[in-house]
Amino acid sequence: MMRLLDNLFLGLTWVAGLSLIGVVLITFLDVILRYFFASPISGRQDLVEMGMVVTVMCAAPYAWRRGAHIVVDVFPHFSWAPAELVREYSVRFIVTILFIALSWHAYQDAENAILFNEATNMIGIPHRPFMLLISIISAFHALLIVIESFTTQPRPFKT
Amino acid sequence: MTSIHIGLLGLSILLMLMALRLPVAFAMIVTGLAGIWTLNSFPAALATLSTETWGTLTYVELTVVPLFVLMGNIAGVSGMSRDLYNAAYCWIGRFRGGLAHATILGCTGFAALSGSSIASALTLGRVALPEMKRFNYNPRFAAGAVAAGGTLGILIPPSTGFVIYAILTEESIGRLFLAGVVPGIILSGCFMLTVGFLTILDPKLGPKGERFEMRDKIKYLFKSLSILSIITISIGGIYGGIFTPIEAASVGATLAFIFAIPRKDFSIAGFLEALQKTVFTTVMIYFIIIGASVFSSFLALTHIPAELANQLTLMGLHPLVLLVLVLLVFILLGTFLDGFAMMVLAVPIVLPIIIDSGIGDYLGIANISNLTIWFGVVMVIILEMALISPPVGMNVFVIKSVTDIPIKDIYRGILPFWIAMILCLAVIVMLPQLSLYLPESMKT
Repeated sequence: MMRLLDNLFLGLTWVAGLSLIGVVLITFLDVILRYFFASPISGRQDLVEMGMVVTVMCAAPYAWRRGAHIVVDVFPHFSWAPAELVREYSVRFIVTILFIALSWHAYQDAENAILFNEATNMIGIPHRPFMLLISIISAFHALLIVIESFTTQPRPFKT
Repeated sequence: MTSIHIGLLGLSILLMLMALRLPVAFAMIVTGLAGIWTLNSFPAALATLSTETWGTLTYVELTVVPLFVLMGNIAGVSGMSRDLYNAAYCWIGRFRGGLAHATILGCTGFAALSGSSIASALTLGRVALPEMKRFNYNPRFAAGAVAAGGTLGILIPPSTGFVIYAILTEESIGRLFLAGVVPGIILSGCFMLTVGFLTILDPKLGPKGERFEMRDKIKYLFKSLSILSIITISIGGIYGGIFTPIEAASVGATLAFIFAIPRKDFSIAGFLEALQKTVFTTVMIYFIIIGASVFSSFLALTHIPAELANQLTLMGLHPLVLLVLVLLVFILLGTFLDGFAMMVLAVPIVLPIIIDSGIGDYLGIANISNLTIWFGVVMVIILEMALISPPVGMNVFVIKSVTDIPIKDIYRGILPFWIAMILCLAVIVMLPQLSLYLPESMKT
């Protein structure tokens, strides 16, 4: 189960990578077109904004799996197994609740985005799909932590 | 319970959650949400989470972080980051302490490609430590030079520390980048003076290295031109008003990729590794910013920053005394808090105090924007010190991962460089023009 999820989230990480490459290329092309052809890309900023939503959200679950978030190790030598277990599961519980809350509210925002026709400023890319992406990936992120809690040992975090 | 009491309770809970090893970003989000819920309402707390997440993800200025990180990572996996070290090694390695000097120069060059101190320490540590071992350098001294040199990564632009500070203070990223250039060079010079001083006192610390033919020296100098041109185009482009920081970062990343293609160290697997590392760093930084934004919203509701500023003003402390006190607290915090965590926690509270303290008038800093920029440089130097301060010195752990030198020896080796940083900090504090000259003369 965990292997399947890891593969899924690794795949999403490559989507994030592609999106980042897109952001680099669009910005670079915009510079070239502006300076050499006096014709900048219309809506470059809009594309970059939405590209970063895709980059960050798609990579977030696998970043969690790989322990990419910073933690502060105040008691590096403290290792009493029962307390460590309670601590680890408390951490996972808190982050799960957080992503459920984010998922729920992002979904509501996505619904509101239709009502108010929310879109980017220059070329009018609708916000709704990207808000839904935040909602769906946050829900998956929460689910990942729940499944991870039942199937694997605590993973190392960056300290 | 007043809002200030709730704020103080929130700060205590935040520290407790961080001690429980909840990732810093999530600890700030949770505390911020709980605080907003208490002081306002649950829907307001949820709305803050959602709004700040969307606001951060779509904040276009923040894009500069992943693009510069990608540039540094491509330079790292392609071996380009070693070129400057190799060139410096050829030219000055044969002198006493020359390899340590070359390491500091290599770190300075790599710092201008990568915004990360950890990446600088790791990359140069892998290359320089075995070489210094080969020439019988004192391991403590060698590790100290690499760990200290690595910290330059967040002072010399592009710097993730400055980007986060810019977001927190709504200051210009480009101006902050330029503000870091002169202090970065001064600090690099201070480290080299420290190396020189130590090797004069005890020549056995850093014996003479290999002597190279002029042909080799020219060859390695020529090889380092790719790095120098990327640095000149991207950072020079910002200074000259040719590029915005985001454009400079995209040009830098693209150039790094183009220069990396013909190199034999560079492969598709290496590129994918650089890309994956970049997206992970991006996620980490974006979530830290989301956390800082949610937590700042809570702090604003508590009125703690304003109240603290009022109380300190009423105490009538001399601005310089107040500044020294603030810096001492930061140095102390830096010994156990992660540097970024310290920055996102402290800046919203401390900056209003600094602005109200009258230190700007005392040091002759013309306006609030310049004062904010100068304080950003001071803050980043403190952050650098935090990276090599026990017990939670990230750069020290990084050096430890590539060498078998005991942690306590690495800390001992760092001590002279740490003292050099204090002296450099004093100079930067007392002479704000060193930080402000370039931002003030920048073309827009």
